[in-house]
Amino acid sequence: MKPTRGEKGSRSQQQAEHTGAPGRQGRLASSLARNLDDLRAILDSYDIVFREFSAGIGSSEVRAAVIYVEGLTETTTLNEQVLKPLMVDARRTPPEGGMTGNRLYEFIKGHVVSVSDVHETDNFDELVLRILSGESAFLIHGQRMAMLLSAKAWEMRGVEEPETESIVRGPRDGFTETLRVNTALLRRRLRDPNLKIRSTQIGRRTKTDVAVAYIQGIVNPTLLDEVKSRLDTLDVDSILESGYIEQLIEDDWASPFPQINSTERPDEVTAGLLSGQVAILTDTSPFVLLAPSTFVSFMSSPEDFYERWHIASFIRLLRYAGVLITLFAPALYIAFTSYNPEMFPGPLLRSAAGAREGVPFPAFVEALIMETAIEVLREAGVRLPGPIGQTIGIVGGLVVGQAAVEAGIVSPLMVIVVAFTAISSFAIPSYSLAIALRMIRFLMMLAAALFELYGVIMAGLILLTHLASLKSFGVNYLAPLAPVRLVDWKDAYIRGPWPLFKRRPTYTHPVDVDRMDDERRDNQLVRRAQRRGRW
Amino acid sequence: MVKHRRARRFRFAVALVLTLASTGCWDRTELEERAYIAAIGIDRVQPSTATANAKDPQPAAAKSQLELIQQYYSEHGAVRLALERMNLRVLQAREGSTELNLRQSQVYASTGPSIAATEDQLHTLISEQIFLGTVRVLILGEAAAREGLPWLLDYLQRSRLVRRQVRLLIAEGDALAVLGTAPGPYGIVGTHLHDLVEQSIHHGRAPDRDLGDISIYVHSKGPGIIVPRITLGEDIMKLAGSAVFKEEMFVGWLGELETRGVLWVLGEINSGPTVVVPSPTRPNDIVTFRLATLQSTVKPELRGDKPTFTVELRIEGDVIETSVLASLTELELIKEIENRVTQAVEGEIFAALARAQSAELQVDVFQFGHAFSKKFPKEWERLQTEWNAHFADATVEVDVTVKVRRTGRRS
Repeated sequence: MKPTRGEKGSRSQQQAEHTGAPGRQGRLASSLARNLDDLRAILDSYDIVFREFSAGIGSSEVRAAVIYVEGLTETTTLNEQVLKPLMVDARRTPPEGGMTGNRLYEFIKGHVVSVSDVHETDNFDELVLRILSGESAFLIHGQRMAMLLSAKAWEMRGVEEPETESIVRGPRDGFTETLRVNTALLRRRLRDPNLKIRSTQIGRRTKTDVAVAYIQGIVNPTLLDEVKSRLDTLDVDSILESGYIEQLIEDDWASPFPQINSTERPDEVTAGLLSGQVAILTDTSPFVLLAPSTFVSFMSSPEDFYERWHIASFIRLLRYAGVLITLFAPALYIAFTSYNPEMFPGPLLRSAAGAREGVPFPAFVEALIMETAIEVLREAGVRLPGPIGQTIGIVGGLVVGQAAVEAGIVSPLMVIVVAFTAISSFAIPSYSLAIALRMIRFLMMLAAALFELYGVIMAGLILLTHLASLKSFGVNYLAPLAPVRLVDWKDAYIRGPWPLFKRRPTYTHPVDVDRMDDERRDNQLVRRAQRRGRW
Repeated sequence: MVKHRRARRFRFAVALVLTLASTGCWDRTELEERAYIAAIGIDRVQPSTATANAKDPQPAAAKSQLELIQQYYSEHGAVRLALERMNLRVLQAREGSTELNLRQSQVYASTGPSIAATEDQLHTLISEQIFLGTVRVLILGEAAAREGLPWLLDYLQRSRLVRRQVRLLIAEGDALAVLGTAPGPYGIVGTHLHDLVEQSIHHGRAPDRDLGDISIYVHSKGPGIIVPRITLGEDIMKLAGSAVFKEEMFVGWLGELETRGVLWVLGEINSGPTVVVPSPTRPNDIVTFRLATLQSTVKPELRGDKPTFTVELRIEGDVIETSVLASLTELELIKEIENRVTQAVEGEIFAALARAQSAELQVDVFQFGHAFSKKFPKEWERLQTEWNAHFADATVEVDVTVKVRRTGRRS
């Protein structure tokens, strides 16, 4: 996508000044030598290859040059399709009549260079940018135009199963670091001409390709404009990961909660596009952003729709239970133990009190030590190489926990609470949401230590208030739970059966709301099937 | 300027957070810093032992107050509060630990003018904070029971810790003596008695009453209620029979089978209790019937001005024991057994009824008043105040239907 806004243009002018291009308003000269000198002045780097040669067309010879970045360009194509025809073949079988100037250039473009994706420019800055993006520039003496051959090829990771979002049933492919591969993964799933992918470049220095994908006719135009305008306002030197974009365009930077979903799964993105979300794909990052996102969307996994709805609903409820346990279990342990033992059922109280016999710390300190320990372990497990990480987990979790209990430093019940809390937090499908909740858990513990059970309740209410006031691209974060949209509850705490999914979710305000055929016909089908006793 | 203000605001926020840590002594009491009480025993005793408190030198101005308290003592006697405290270390001790040889619980008792004051005094004997949230049973001594229920409930209902499920028991004699008796293989009297009471629904020889029942009874101004009785034998305690409360006062005891007679009508017997009847096949032989289900309906009527009640019982059960190898498959035999069981149950009910209507008690422990008030709310308004007298005059008909469902087979 060409830059549409005025600001972009002024930025490239800044760029021109910055690169010290000659005073020709950034246009190419006709002299090859001069162009090459100018290019060399800017691109004087080890990884940039300048290849000058004589292209012979019959008797006439003309100086030409190929410029590309080593490692980003497929040299075989360049050699076979450009250099060899010009240097060898054209000389053997010359076209009739001598050619100079424009005619020669047109001849080369039309008959010699057999590369599919060719782009022309006379703009110096564009030329530089395209060379740096991996295209090969082809310049001829006497021509103010440069041909840019798209023979990009660099070492990249293949399509692999995403490790952070593994599922049991469902496609195994995941996004990669290459934008083109990622768009292809989307296109393979959506053979809809209305799937539009618009790209722009963000980052004054990185010039990272960022693509916005949406389905025209489903996506709400207001939402699309909002996403695009937020992306356009970005003015940073670099975009190294989609996390940069996520944090720069989100509604509330002060909140610990993620407001834009990020996923490595093409099926999740496709489902999002179909429900009216906008996807933001970032080159060099396998994480694709989906906006707007709600709390419920962070709690669901694409697998929910692949399994039968009873099971999916049950698993979802388990996840919500996981959220509550992650947030409140240690806090409640502190509140019950230090202040309100009457909240324990009788026999449990006896066990709990007996277990705490001889523990030297108050419950809060005990919980703080153990929760910190498990967070450190978790972080260490992520950083350490695979097999060692598991070993550390076992050593840390089992051995240290067991030893701490044996030594009487912590009570066994505390270890159970901590372990259960940690496990519960991993039941939340979104890593960013889980880590936010794990952090807030410490605040909950503090509230319990200072203000007993009352503090936990107050902290819970404050948290709920915060969540209810959050927005993602103007959509309420707790939608459809608050404000209540009962039609969307089919896909909130539970995942309803397929016949309920006749309409797209309302929170994205899609243009085309129907997912299935019109309701009357559907109802007839259902009734007929029910009469026959099967669906 | 803006930056300055922001910095000040930040400093203020930090200071605010730091104040939280400077409060220092939080009012927390960790789990292990509490004394967990399993049972409460309350007695009324003569004030002779309790005057020690009053003998302390008092300021002259308080003299008249002291006299007032002395007067209270001489009228009511002192409260003796006994708490059974669980020794959690022993309860949680692992296999092979030396602590297993220690006692699982310890009883502390003290006397004072009121329950709360005595509990306060007990802190001179118990090093941890007394925690009443774990109490399973409340035992009232006979003398304390005569003081009536409201006196007792006031303190326990004010407490946010004492649970509604605490079982109430009336001791024949002293509550302290009950707490001091070894409870059998399980070392805690409170737990043991609680389980005994819970079990009573399966034999019907004692009712099951918790503080919730009692407070409903007191606040609805019920005419009478029975509460389980605990009696002491040689080194053993037995839960059987019941104490009868007339309105709020303890008035007498019901025996084991009399209690069962009341519970038949109340429908508070579940599977389990047995009825022994003479065998229909041979003289000098008996057949044992065990109840499986019981349905009880009380139908009040007004005959003229006199309340009359019909109690309908539907009993189903099995023959579980005979002393001879008699075949009980014949219909007539089964019918005969059913008749005899009917007679036996009716007998129990009438015996209990006679006791309750006797001049000695005159208490509606069958809750006929409740059924009557629902059917004749207007008449109830009139009869309510003197209900127990009306109950004593009431005619009661008992209609028992027994079905023997299984006669069993020996293999």
